[in-house]
Amino acid sequence: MLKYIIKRVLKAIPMLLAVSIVIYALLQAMPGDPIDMYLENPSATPEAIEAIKKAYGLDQPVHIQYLNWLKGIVTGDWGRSFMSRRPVLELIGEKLAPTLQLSGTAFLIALVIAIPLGISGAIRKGKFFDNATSTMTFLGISMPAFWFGMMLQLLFAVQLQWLPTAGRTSLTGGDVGSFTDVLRHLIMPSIVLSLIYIASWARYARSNFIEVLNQDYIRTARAKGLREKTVYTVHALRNALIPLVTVVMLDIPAIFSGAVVTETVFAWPGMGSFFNDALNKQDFPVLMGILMINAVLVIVSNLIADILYAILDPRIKY
Amino acid sequence: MSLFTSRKKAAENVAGPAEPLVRTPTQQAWIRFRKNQLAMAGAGMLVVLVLFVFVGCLVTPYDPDMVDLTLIRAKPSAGHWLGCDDLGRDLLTRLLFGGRISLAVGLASALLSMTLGSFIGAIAGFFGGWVDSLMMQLTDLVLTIPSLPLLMVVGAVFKPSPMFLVVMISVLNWTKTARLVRSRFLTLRTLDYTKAARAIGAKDGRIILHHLLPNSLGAIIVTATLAVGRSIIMESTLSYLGCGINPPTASWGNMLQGAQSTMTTAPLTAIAPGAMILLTVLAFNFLGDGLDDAIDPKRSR
Repeated sequence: MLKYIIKRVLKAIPMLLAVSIVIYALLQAMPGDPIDMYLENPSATPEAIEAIKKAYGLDQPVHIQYLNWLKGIVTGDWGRSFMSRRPVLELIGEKLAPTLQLSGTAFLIALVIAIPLGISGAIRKGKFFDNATSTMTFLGISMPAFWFGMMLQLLFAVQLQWLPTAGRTSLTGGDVGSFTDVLRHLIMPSIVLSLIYIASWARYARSNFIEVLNQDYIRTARAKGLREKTVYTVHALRNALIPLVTVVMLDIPAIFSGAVVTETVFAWPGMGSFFNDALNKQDFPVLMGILMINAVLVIVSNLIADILYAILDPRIKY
Repeated sequence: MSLFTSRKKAAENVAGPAEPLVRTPTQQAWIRFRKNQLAMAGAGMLVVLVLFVFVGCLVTPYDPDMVDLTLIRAKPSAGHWLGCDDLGRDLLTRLLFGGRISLAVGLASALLSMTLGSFIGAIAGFFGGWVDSLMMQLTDLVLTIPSLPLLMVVGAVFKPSPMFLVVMISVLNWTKTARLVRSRFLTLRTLDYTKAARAIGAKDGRIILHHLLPNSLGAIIVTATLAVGRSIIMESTLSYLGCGINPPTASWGNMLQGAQSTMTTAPLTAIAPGAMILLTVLAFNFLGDGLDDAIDPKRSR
């Protein structure tokens, strides 16, 4: 087992390097130069501009710049934002908490709703409940998440005025930033972010459960005279959940990066909004940092999914 | 089922007009497809939507980009059925023209990613060995790239034309098809008819194009149909974030970007484009799911 894990980790490293090269090359192709901003200053002498270029390492050839950047990534120096001149890692650290709060809540909502929904659909296959939930999950995977968010805003914030439209805390009032205040702001964004995963995980859980119910060991369990409830919970559930673990793990990075869209709709002050800002201002080090975090997340969750699968399913040889 | 009854009927009146007893797999798939209500609903919805959008563009009396400051956020009326947006442009007309772009981008990128994925999957599955492992490394690499943030960067940097957007979406979306075609090819190339083709001296290209690809086509079409829906959502998300189709050219996505500020006073500007996206993607997903059941009889429930 340990050998398998080491092998997978070693395979992940060149992949990460390759992704970083692709991303770096792409950002290099950006037409605007961060120096442009300084050029607009009439009192900027050519010497001063050279000095700035030197300070950011922009005077060196691209591959040297890349290697310097890579060294920085490994040693914890992710460069400084072109805009605020503060360290990227520090800036990202500040934005991480709201994003984790949002994507974590969305993840839990999706998990808690999707699996029971899918399994009850499978048990009542072809009945009214199954047809109703199947239609709903179909709608869920066919809807752009940001539009669902706008519709929720229109209904619950504008029309009914039950929930705040956007932001993470209220701007005025006695309970600004309190737990319930943040919670009220969290409801709509986390539902929006979880929608597609509720739908796709429920569909996956349903088809998996149906497949497991057709297996011989389920027939054996029923033939032994076990109650249906025992068959479902003891025999079917565990086997149906194994492939689902992989799917859920592989979706975690997508929830994280999907927060970009949700945060934009609801003006949630996390990494997504931060990324959008950096994009508009062509803040190269910040963009690189966030893209790399995303790439690392994809690779790590792939790794964990593979390892978990190998642990959970004894039939897998590694 | 229908095969069985028709044979019984034919046996009962031997003298009667001979009904064809043998149906080709394509005919069988067509029969299963027609019986699948969901798939038929999807196909019907698509025909209506495409006609609505493409014919609508021709008959609408308005220019989609014509600004009329007297009609800013106008309520629906006899002249403007859905009202106007924040620049006084006719909403219905923009919906039609935006639909043309969104549908075209969705279809084109599904087609392109299908072609790309089939090609890569085909050579990986057919040749095996180091070609296979190289292609699968490439697939893994593309899967590792965080596609939404990356597409946002590309969109913001290059201010893409619709064609460029199609290429970008496809370049990041061919992996599913490639894996599918590869696994089909790995199975098919060991079958007897492939061996027979090779025995009579067929070249690699002929075996791939005449034997392996046609036998994988069903699965490829299903994936491509579902990919259209995904591409439309991807395009609209990017355009909504300002990284896709650039205004003033209308697309359902960038109409929603504009609607963010008008939706409280003119709710239809937000409701209508999204409803069109939902209906279109739903139609493609219904169709894809139905095709899946129709093409693969073993899986039919």
